Amino acid sequence: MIKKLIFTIFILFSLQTESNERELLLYSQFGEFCTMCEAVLLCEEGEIKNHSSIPDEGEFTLYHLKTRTFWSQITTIWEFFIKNFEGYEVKGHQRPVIIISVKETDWSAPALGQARISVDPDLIFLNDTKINRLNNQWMDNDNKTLGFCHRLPLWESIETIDNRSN
Amino acid sequence: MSLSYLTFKNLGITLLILFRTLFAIFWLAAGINKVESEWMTSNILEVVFLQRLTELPPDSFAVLYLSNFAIPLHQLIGWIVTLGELYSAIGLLVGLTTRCSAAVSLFIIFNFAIGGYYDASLLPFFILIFLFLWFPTGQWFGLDRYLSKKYPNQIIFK
Repeated sequence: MIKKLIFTIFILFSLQTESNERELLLYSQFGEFCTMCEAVLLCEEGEIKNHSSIPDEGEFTLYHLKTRTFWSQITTIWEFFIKNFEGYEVKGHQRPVIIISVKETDWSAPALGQARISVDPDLIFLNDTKINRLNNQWMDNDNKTLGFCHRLPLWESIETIDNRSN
Repeated sequence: MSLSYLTFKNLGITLLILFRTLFAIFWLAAGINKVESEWMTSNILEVVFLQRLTELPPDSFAVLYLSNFAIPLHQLIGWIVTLGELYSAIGLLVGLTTRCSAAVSLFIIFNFAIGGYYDASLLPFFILIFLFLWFPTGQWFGLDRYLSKKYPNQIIFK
């Protein structure tokens, strides 16, 4: 019994831990996906722009990345454990996303889709587009640039979306 | 007692000991990770809490908890969580002060939950902890079995 304990402690102490993780959307600098975090992204054609809130009018797409689903959250037990073993880290997961297209002042009905958040490669895969998490480039599935995406303040944006959707 | 009852009971005991071992290995890995990530000696936990603060609904209890308790006392919390996880891990792994180890696990997990680190993955942990508190798993398999015979008045080995 004691031998087994010493062996287990030795094995676990010899494991490498991550120390130089990058901080990306919904992914902490400590190498963990945030299960309960949400994010609102505004993607539009043209050059990269900064928005402090959802513009009153314009032509853009809003992506509201929701929290992971119940069973997806349960699987994080395994993800958290396997993270301690170098080379076995989980590289991505799926979560629900609400997609809204805005043209001038008209908002489309919110559409529910699935987003795949990946850190290898550093992309967010949406229904028919994807976002480069490093340079915020918005692309179609043929890697053709559509424009750029910008992360909006979360709680104000959710409130605006809720007000417009109801 | 019927054979099927005994089989069912033995299966339950085996499963619970197996889950206790897995739980302990998980806790041990987490505790070692925190030692290596310098939770006790650096301000890393403050950084973690400050990041979480930006992700929580501003009017939630977790924001209140982090702002008024966890962030000012991040160094102390780093010590408590790291040492608590390591103590619980070893206790559950070898069945030493098993119920006390489970109680410490409950304290840590509960504080994770109210501190804004709640999600469905905590549910299996809560269920297992309550099972470890309810059943004398250290008496079934662990050092508590021998120590409670040697020190019958010590409640910590029960």
